[in-house]
Amino acid sequence: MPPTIESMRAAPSALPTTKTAPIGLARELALVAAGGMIGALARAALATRAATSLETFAISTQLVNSMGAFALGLLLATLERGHPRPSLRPFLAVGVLGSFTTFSTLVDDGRLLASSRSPLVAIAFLALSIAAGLVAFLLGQWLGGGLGRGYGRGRGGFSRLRSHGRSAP
Amino acid sequence: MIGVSDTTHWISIAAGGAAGAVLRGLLARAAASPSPDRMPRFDPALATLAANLGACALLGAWTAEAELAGAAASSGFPGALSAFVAIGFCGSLSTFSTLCADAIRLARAEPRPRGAGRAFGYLLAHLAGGPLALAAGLSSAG
Repeated sequence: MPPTIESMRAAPSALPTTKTAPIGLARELALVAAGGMIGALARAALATRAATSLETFAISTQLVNSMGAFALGLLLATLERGHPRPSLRPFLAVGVLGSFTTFSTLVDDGRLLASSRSPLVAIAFLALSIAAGLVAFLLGQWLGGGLGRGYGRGRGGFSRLRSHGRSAP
Repeated sequence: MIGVSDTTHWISIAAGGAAGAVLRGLLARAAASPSPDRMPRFDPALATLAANLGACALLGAWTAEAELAGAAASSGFPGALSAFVAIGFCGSLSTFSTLCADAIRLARAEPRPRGAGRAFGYLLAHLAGGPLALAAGLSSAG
């Protein structure tokens, strides 16, 4: 059975459909475009820096992707908890973080790895890369306090600090 | 590698990044738009998959074309165009953060064996589809 709109709303998602009131298409796309510009520039700047200092192309993409997945987990968990401005999701989740992270460059890194090492090494690299991203996302989500939702468990991370009266970073 | 201080290089990346993100946003929106029975047309994860595989195919085709063009890259323009297509557009059309979010959402949307199976299949589609799409793009040129 395919998930309903309601079940998608219940779970954190990077999509503009969840929870918040819809905003106009033109406005949404403008926010996505602005965010995409920032995300792509940040990715290129970081990747160039990391590639020249580490001299390893694959690590820089991996670094950017893990950082972005972590940030998205943190962001979505935070957005789920409150009543965010409807512009935040398209700008930050779809635009900035969606563009900051990349899949095509990752796969292309894998291609270079396949030719310099072996196809098996490349596939292992991609699999590990995705696994690392999932862990980073979950860690971000946990820190954002989202893991407790719907699982009957206590909230983790910063929300625990918050409940003790301290301010979140 | 392309010169870091080149303004055209960065403008190209920004423009490509905006275009790629907008196309990805439109795909997600189209998939998630509810049909009359209040069900989404497609799971939005499929929009992410389509964007990611499309970006890989385009990057492959671009890489092959750029290698064919070879010596033509001596002028400034092809470098900027490459930054627009490869780093900006393909880089931003594809996404890794949303892929992770989609996989986790799929895993949690249904009871464990089924949800985990869906998420695993989704990740496997990326793991196999990405390299295949890239290879298809690479072989399409010339």
